[in-house]
Amino acid sequence: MNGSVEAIKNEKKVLLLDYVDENLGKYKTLFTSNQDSIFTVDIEGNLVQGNPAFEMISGYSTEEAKQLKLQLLFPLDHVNKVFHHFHKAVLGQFENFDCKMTNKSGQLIDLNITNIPISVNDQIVGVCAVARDITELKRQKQELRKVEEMQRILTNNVLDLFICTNLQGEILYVSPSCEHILGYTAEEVLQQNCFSFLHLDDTEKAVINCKKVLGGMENRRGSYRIRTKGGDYIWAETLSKPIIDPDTRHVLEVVSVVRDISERLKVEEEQNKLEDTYRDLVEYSPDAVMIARDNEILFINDTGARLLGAIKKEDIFSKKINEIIHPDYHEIAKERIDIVTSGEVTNFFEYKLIRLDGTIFVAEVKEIPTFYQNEPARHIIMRDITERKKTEELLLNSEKLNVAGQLAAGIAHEVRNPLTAIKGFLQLMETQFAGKQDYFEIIQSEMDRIELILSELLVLSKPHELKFETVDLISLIESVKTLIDTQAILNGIQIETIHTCKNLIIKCDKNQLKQVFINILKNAIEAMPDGGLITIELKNYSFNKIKILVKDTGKGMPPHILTRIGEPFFTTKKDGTGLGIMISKQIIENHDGTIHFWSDKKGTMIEVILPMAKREALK
Amino acid sequence: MRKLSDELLIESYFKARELNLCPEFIGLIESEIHRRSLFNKIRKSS
Repeated sequence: MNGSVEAIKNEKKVLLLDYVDENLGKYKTLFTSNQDSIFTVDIEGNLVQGNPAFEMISGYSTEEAKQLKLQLLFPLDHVNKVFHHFHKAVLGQFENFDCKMTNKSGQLIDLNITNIPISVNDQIVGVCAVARDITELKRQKQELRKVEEMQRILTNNVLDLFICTNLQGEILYVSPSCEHILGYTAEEVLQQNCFSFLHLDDTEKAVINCKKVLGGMENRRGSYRIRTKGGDYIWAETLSKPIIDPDTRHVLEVVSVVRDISERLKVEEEQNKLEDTYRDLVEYSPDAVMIARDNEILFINDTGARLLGAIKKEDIFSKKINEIIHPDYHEIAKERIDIVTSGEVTNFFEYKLIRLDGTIFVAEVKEIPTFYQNEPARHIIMRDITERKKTEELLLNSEKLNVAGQLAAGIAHEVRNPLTAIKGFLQLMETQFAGKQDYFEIIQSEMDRIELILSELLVLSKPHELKFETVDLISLIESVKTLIDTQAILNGIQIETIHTCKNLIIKCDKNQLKQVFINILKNAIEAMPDGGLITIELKNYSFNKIKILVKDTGKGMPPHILTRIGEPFFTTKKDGTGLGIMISKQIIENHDGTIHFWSDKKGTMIEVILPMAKREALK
Repeated sequence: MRKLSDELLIESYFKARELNLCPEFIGLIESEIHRRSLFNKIRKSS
């Protein structure tokens, strides 16, 4: 049995070899110069012949090839597949398939093989395999697929929108992100004109831009409002690029990248707002703010310019820091600059600064390290504390006065009773010592003086006992004037009242206020021993206040006396108590008013400001 | 005032009133009289 199978095989082999020899002669050129590898296999899988192209890819010479078996040519995992196809070919089917082959040096080669059964005398004696090397093709295809895949991922996932339009602006392609950004599906916008999606105000701009892209063949940027499906508009930035035919140099189509910049614009807007806020904060800060680097002044706000007495900010920029600081403070300033430069914040420190006009003032200065135009700089805060110092002084002074006043009033109160007793008994004694009348008179007058001082001191301690009533200030002044007139005329003094307005109604304690004006006028009379003129002027001051100006033409007061006015027991008069002005001040203050004194050699001016009664109080 | 005898106090009171001295002084004496409970004396006499 075996013998007969072998015989058939051998017979077939012989037939195949004959066939090969016969056909090789016939189609020699076709066989040898074919680009594809051709090899013939007998039905047992032994290679019978191979063409030069086969030698090339397999690396086996023709002689070597003849010794090869089919399974040696293919890697293990492909052998099955190859045999399957060969088997089919042996049964007479034409087969085409892809597989890998191992060449002589062990490299894998991708092949596309076509099996052609060789039939002689109606029986298949072998298979002719035409193999094409598709390694390169496969590699290229794979690369192409990779690129395609990458493009697909890009267009699908990038949030920017890609649009391809023809020369008329009709949309040929949109990337899938269209739906995400604008809400339209691709079908909804294809074939539509891209300009129809723009805001009407932007269309003209877009058309011009488009013409430039087409005409100038250049890339253009633009930002437009685009209508979304929901009807809202979003701000978008587009970058359009013409696709130019390399042969004709004509524009084929335009590719645009559209990016939604609404968010960015919003952020930018917010940033601008924030910047504005910060600028306003600095610009309108009640503190003077200056930015300096080394000795240069780079920035100053309005308050700062005012503080330094500059009309234009440029006047300050031309100055150096050193020129603003008083020379006594240069040393300290230098030390503090070093601290700031090392990155620390300095606390407020009192400096003497020089204004542009040369005057000196005291200011608190704080320095903070900062950045200005991306370079380290010093942020300097300056506060004019001249006013504050003055207020502090005033406060201290008034506190002093207050304490002194209370002490004095306390003493006065304690002394009054014993004094009354002394005075009373003295008067009782007087009747019995008729001969010493002079002494009694002296004692009497001194007693009176003590009483006067005491009663004035007591006024100080009784601010709560004011009896407020509505009074016409003009009639009050007039009554004071008539009271004092006789004394004035005796001294050759004329009193004139000027009032430009009527109904100056105030709420006050009538008697106390009279006392104030009597004090003031008495002082004025005493300041003019040789006669003169006193003018009392009444006028509105702001909308709810009254200003009363009392001027005399006397000898005035030197500054060292002017500053001491109002101090308790300070007097320039032989028999003054040194309490009159102090009490007047106290009374005016109890009426929520102010009193000020000016004086020079030509006379003294006293200004009293009192609040007018509120309208509802008049009813 | 406290060292003054009752008689002298009462005398001072009437004298003061007679001379029309200041009311505060009279008030002082009156309160001292009051303190010593001598008020009926001045009431009787006046």
